[in-house]
Amino acid sequence: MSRLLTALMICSIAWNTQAQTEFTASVSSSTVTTADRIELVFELSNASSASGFRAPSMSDFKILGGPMQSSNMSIINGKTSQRFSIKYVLQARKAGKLTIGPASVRVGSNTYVSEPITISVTEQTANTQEERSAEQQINDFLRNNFYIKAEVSDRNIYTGDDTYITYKLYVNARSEIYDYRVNGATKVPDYNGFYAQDLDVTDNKGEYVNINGQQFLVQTVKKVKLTPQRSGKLTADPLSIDATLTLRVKSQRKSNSVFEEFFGNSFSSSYERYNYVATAPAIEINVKELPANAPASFHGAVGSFTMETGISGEAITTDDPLTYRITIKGSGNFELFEAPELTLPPGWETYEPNIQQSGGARTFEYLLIPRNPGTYEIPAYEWTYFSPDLGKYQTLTAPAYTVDVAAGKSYTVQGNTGDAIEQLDTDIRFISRNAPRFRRGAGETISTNLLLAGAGLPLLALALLLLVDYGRRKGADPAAAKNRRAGAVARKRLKKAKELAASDDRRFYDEAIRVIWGYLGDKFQIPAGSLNKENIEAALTARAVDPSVIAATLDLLQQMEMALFSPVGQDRPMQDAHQQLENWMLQMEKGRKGS
Amino acid sequence: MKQLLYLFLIAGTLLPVQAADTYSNANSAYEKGQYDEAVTLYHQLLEEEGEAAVVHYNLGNAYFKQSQYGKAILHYEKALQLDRKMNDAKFNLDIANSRIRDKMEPIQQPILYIFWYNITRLLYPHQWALLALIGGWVALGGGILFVLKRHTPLRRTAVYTILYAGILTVMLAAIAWSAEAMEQQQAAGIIMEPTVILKSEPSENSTNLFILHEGLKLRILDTDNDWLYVAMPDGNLGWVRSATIARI
Repeated sequence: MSRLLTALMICSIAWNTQAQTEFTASVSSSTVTTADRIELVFELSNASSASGFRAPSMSDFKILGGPMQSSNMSIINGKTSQRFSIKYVLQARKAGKLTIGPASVRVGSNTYVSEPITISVTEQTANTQEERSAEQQINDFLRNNFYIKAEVSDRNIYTGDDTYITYKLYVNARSEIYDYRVNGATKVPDYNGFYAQDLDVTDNKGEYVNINGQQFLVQTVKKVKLTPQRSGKLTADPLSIDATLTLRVKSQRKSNSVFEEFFGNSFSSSYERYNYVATAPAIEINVKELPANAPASFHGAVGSFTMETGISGEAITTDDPLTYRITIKGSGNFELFEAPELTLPPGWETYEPNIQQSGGARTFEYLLIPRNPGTYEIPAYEWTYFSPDLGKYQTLTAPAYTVDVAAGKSYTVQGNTGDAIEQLDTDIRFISRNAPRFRRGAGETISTNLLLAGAGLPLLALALLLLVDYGRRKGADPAAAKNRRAGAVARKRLKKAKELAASDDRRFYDEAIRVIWGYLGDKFQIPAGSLNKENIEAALTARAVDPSVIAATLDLLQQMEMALFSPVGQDRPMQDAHQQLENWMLQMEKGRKGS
Repeated sequence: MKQLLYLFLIAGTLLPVQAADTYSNANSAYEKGQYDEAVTLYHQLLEEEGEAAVVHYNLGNAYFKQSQYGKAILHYEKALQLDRKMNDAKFNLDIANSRIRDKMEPIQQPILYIFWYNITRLLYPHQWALLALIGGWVALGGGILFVLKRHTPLRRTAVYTILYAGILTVMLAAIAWSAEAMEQQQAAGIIMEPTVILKSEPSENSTNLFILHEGLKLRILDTDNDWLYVAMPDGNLGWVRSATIARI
């Protein structure tokens, strides 16, 4: 819901602005004198965005101020009005009818043009002339008798070195300035590129100085210590102070003067209050880069220093920390330089130093904590500063200290505390002293491709061997041949058995059994020595011969064996037995072919 | 064949007296911190005796100590090319690489590629091929056994030998072939100049693509007269003058 409302609002604003965009030009007064100031305002109302403002030609006018832009937006009874204005302050250069041409502005794709304005300008009257010159006169007078001067201690310094700017107020003591009061600074410089420090100004009384035979009261109003942070031409901006002056006014001054009406004090006819801004000029300071060959122990200190170091004791325990004190005395940019960095023996720890500044000395107090007992050397400490006087780096060296650390009460072996081992630094590993094995030439010892060919060769040979073998087995494998010939051999034997059966010879059974065994042996590659019923059954089962055929085979064997060993005359006719044998034979051969 | 092998072994282990002297002189120069002297002697050894991983490694160290990281990296890489398993060289190479100016993320290879790459890196290509060769002959032996002893229980052993040895051989050969191909792809060089500009074409007039610094390893893809077509570790490509690159 609220979203809908917002959308509606936006729509209505858009509609409003589209409907009522206006661009007008106006002046504060259309009849002026050459001394008057004219305010010229271009106003664009109800346009959401404007671009490409083109000011008219104003060659007949001096532009005293502007263009000053301002904009406001108001919503009254749900109706939005938006104004955007550009203001100029002008003064006519000559008398006559002067015209300010049309200005234009672009809103979206439309261009709006303002109406031209005609102003009638008359010569300034004597009165206004006088008034102007009165103000001018006062200003001219004050410029020479009430002013600020900035004094720089050094305009050509190194980065990090300091320079002082002292702002002094000069007041002519024997002049019409009866009294004055400094209200404060209207413009405080920002010392870009400097680290600036305001110093206390204690000199409130000031002193009298004779300048060109005139007594001036000179008072320090501001003193600042500047430390340049970078090199190059740096500028300290102007300082302006606002003062209220009481001026002794000459008695012949006309009482109906506009100036008096404006500045006049009804209580005193002979004194006038006047507000005046005195400005000290900008100051350029040339900052030189520090020389490039700074030693590693240089941390930004510039000035002139001495160093002292000390430790709290040379025999301590792991329980009490050691205090290491570095005191740097002298003058320079104490505020800017970093705390010196200590090189500690391995296994020692330290925290951020405690820094104390007193006058021209800065003390860095380090708390050093030895973790393990032993004799340690705190290395000699080097500290470098840049001396602007000598124009080069100066290195101070503090002695090395040897400290005996005994195990304190709370000392435990590191392993028990479970502390991780601290890696101090990384470096490459040491050289190898193994005897080198030189290899001539860049080539591999043996060609990979040659070896691969060597691997392919036996595989090819294998394939060939298996192929040839397969072909030969098909043609000349004795087992396979036996298998294939089993039927033929058996039939030959059957023929013999048939003859025996025809002559009713009992050797028929013997022959029949031999036919069966021989056939099975050949067919299924069962060596003659291991032929028995169990083997046969297993062999046939393994070759998935029909179970009924297996049963028939075993049954036939049984019958033949029984007939062989049974008394004469009790057996069945041999012809029948022979027929049965032939049938089995047929069945076997058929079965084999089918499988 | 056997004598040849012995000869090879002896040549590998025993140094000529003079070379051994130079080597120990170089090492003691290094220990005394006379790295210039060590560099000269190690170079002399390489020139007179041929390539050796240990010498390249020590030479790399001597360069490192003089903050010549580009040359240090080159010789560590050479040492690793001769002896992949030289852990000290790997360690020092990493440190040297952390000291050079150009740092870039290497391209992420597919996980399967990395897996395969790591397998092929287990042995040198010729070692893989040697294994394949042995496998091939074993398979052939199985074939012969199969043909001769078909009717004995060895038949089964023979069949399995053919099967396993055959498959193994094919696999080993594939790895060997792949390892060799990857080895060929790894042709690389180290930038030797403080700064080198990678160009879009093999000519000075072409567009400047990247500014590279000493010590960066570039893969060499192609050459054209005295220009090399190279790949940066992050996969960007360009041409550089071959004189600014030292091949590993």
